[in-house]
Amino acid sequence: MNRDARRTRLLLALLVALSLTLVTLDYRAGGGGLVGKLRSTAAAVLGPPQRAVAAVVHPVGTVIGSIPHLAGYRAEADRLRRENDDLRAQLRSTGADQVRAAELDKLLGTAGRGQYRVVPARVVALGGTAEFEWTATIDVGSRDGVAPDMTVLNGDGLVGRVKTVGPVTAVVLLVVDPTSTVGARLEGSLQLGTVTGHGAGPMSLQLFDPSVKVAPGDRLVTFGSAGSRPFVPGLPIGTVRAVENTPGALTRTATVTPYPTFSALDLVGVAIEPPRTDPRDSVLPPRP
Amino acid sequence: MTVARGLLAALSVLLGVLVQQTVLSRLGLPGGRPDLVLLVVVAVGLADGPGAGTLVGFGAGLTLDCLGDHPIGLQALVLCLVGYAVGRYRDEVDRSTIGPLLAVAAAAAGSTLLFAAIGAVLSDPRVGWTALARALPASVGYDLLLAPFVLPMVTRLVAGSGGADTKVAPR
Repeated sequence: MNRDARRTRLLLALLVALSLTLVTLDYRAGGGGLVGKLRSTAAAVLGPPQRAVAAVVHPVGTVIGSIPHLAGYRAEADRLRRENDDLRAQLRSTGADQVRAAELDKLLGTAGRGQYRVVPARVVALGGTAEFEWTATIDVGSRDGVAPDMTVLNGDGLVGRVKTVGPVTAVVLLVVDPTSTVGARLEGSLQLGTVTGHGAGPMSLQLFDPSVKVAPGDRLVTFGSAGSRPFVPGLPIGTVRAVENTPGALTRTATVTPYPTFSALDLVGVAIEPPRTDPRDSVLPPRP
Repeated sequence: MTVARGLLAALSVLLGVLVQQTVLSRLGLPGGRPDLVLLVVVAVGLADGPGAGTLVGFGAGLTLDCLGDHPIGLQALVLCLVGYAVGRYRDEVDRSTIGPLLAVAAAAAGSTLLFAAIGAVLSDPRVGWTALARALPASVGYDLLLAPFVLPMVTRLVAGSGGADTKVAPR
């Protein structure tokens, strides 16, 4: 064995030890301390180029990104196909601006009904590279008044909460991430539970009272956290898809389909000011 | 590895991270997404050997760690091991035409498994059998699809500038 190979091994051993130390430190500190500083520095340094690249590639990305979805609709009727063609033509001719204006309209409608004060933002990046992680980077940061643990929503409902904040970007933990748990309330009742994410699968609801009647189609809104952080009250979360009956269980479990489409997130809003009073069920759209 | 080559490697990593997060992750591909940063690390390992692979892998991993929400150091650990391993076996890889593709497949599978294993040790609720069963074939498949385009590009970028020391370093 020669000297160079030995030196390389020493380097590898050093770096492995260093990364293990970092993992331990981060795990212990729970996101604060030295590693927290590393995160905010990275957000400060890489935020601007992230925004710049996103601004350049966004129209291309939207078009390419819509292709797998368009393929999925092929099974549906001609009506949808024609509608897709129209949409594609619209995207080509007038750009994504109209779509975005409609999304903004919807977001402002939701924010208005719930009396949340929101800062609109666009998603510039999705995810770390870890396949198991459900985060998004948005193009607003501390300069826009965004702080950690603020609620993120879009026109459809609850999206997630702010985790790390840089000057011009912020990282959002989406509610479908398996580490995310949200306090939820059944529409029209005071029944409480928690909704946990399962990545690409449907979310799961655990109701505290096992005797509560839940049926598919029931709708859920956020219960709201103390001081409205990290979650403001009254935001639509999703609809109950199926109820699991486990006799003797201490809680009742159900699967939940979230309102927002997490694979195609674009325009979101950060609730920088919570409503003065709980909007109850008023943010939910009227039943069809 | 000269300073110029090091800078170019760092540049490709940064570009990889940016394109990965702003473009590839947003495509909404079924199952998972291609890992551009992993491909850059593999390319550097193949072109410059285990030492460069280790360093670049660590740097790339740390950058991803800081931008993500998993514990900092996780990807750094995984990618520096990937960079080392690819560099260590690059002679065997060079001998056949499909060698680089095999290296990419092994790196993609290895990194996903290692990441999941460490996650399991830390009892991360994100890591489970269903998530792994979905992520493993997706990452290997997408990385293989992207490799023929990315590997030559990075190799040319990194190897094209250093000149003299391309194959001088003893292994």
